[in-house]
Amino acid sequence: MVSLPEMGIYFSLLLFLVGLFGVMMRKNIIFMMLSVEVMLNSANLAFVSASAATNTIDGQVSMFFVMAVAACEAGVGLAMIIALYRARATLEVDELRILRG
Amino acid sequence: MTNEMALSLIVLIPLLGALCNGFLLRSASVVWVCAVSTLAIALPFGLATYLFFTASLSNQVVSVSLFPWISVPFVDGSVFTLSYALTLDRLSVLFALIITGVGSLIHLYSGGYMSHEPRVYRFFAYLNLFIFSMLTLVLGSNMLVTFVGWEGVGVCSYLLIGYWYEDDANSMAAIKAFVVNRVGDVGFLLAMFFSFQLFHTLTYSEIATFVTQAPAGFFATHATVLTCLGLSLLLAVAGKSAQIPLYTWLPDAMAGPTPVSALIHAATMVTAGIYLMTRTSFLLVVSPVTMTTIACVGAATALFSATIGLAQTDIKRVLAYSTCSQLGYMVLACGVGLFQYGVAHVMIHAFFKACLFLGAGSVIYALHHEQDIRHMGGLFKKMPVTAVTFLLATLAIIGFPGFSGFFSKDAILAAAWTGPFGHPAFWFVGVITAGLTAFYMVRLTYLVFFGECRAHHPEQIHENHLGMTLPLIILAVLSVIGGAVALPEIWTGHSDVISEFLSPVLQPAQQVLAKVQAGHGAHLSPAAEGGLMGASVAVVLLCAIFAISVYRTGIDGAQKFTARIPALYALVRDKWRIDELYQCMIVAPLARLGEFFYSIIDRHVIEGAVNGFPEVLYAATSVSSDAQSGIVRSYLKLIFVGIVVFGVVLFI
Repeated sequence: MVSLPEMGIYFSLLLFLVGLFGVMMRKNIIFMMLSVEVMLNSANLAFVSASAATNTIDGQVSMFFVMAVAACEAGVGLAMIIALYRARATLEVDELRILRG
Repeated sequence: MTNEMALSLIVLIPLLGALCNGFLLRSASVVWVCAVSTLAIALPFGLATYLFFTASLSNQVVSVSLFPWISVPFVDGSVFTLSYALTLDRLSVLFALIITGVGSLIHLYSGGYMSHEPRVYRFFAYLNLFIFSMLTLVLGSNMLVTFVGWEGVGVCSYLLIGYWYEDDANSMAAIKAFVVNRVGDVGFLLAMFFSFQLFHTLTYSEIATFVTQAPAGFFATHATVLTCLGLSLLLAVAGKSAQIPLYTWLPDAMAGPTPVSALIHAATMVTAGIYLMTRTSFLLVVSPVTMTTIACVGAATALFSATIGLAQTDIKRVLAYSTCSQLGYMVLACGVGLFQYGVAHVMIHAFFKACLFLGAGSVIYALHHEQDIRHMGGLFKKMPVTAVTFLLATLAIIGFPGFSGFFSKDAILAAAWTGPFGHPAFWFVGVITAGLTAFYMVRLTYLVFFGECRAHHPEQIHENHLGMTLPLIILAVLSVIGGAVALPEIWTGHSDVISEFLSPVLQPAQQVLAKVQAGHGAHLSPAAEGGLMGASVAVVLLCAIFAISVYRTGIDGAQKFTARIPALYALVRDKWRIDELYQCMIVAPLARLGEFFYSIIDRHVIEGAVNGFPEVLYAATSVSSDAQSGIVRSYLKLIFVGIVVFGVVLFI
């Protein structure tokens, strides 16, 4: 029988892969950001599960840090996306190739 | 003022004049430019005269070392040092006087001749630079300083021949002169290498001391090298003094302004070869092979270029070929071992040839740059001063008895028979040349100044102003009386002035000659010598009278002779087609070789290497720059793959 924290770790791995493939596959920047959020939350789940499994509080502290950073990241990221949309009138990431060598 | 200081100033003032003209007087009027540059030559003339009386008359040698130049330590511990030093002895004072004296007259004349030219400062700066180079050449204490002047006159000659560089032909003539001179320069360089190898010095006085003190066996053991040294010097002389086979540049050099022709290509630069041979006489006389070759080259050039002069119609070209021919006389005099008569002829030739060229320039100027003698004639009444001076100079060059050329030419002809390396054949060639000279010079003078006027606008012709005629008058007087330096022994009873004057300079050569016991010229009785003189005078007079009788009927007078030998006449008129021969023998193969190097070596090998290197780099970098596509998702995929690989490596 798989314990609950162990299931949380596996689920967080699944979530992380979902987020990772979302970032790699989606073309819309907003969806890419959502996928990044999914990855961050999978990391949070891993932290909490590990915390429960080891009976320590460190993982839960880290989770709160990550949540705070994720909130900031979402705010800044969305602001940049709006600015980008105003400048280029598109959110298709393949169109934004100004870094091409 | 000390003598040393005066000697340095002789060389430095013309350089200063050139710099002043080139940089400060760029917008000044021709009067100022001419005044400054003439003064920059007249002052050294004054200084040279001063040194002539204070030092050279008492056979005092003035030396000054301007700065140490080259210092090379050798493996064995000794050090080879060479300083930029000037020496003024009797030979160089004579040349310095000719260069600055005739030079300042020609500068004065140029002020009139070039008065309508734009940017005339350039012309006078080059002229002053030329005088500086020429003085460096004749005053240098060692071969390397002489070589600096040697190259300097070559460069100035190039600049002045190509003065009207807008015309392609002038530029080509300038390049031809420069390149042909470079061939001769190789000879000079080789001579320096040989003399360094033999004597470990390049200073003339040290070499002279070495050869006069060397045991007689030295010359026997090093005979081959000494002959090579002499022949290298001959090559240098042939380049600068326009001897066969390198004479072709001199007639083309007439593309420059006429004062340049007078100064460089008649009076001074071309005599550098005679100076060099006299300066290194003690190296030449040790090898009879060298001396005979020099004499043969001189005699051949004298005769050959005189024949070309017979059929030319450009007034300057006739004078150019006569310059070649007269230089041949001088080389012949050096080759038979009596260098002093070569120098005497240099001086006298400078007077009358400068006078002839300036007279020709005066005519050309008055006729608005018409140079063809078929469009001249009858100018005697219109330009009396030019005509009289030209006539006097002509009488001097053909050796009319009593005129300067008579004495120097007669001295050379006598030397050709009786000199240490003389031979009656040389005398014979010399007399034929004298006859040819008389013919073409009288032909030239007659067609230009006598008969009917064939000019396009006869009413516009008038005599030039005093700035142009004064040099003519002075030079004409000098070319009448200049012969006093070479009054023959059979007339005066004692040896002539020039031999006396140059005896200290030629002393080492005499000693070496006695040591190697080479060269025994024939000795002639005074009566026989007088007979030879009479024979040459008779030939000259006959040819002169023949020329007048032929051309009395006008320019077509010679047709009844030339019509019989049309092929030969055409050949002579086309200068024996030597230029064409050189063109197909040397220039064209060289051009083909250059084309080969250009199209194969340069275009493919060198440019291939130079262009290939960046092409390879570009190809290599484009691979990595293609990876930077700007597509964020592909970056992410690469990151993912990287992490997976990293993880696999880490855990396995």
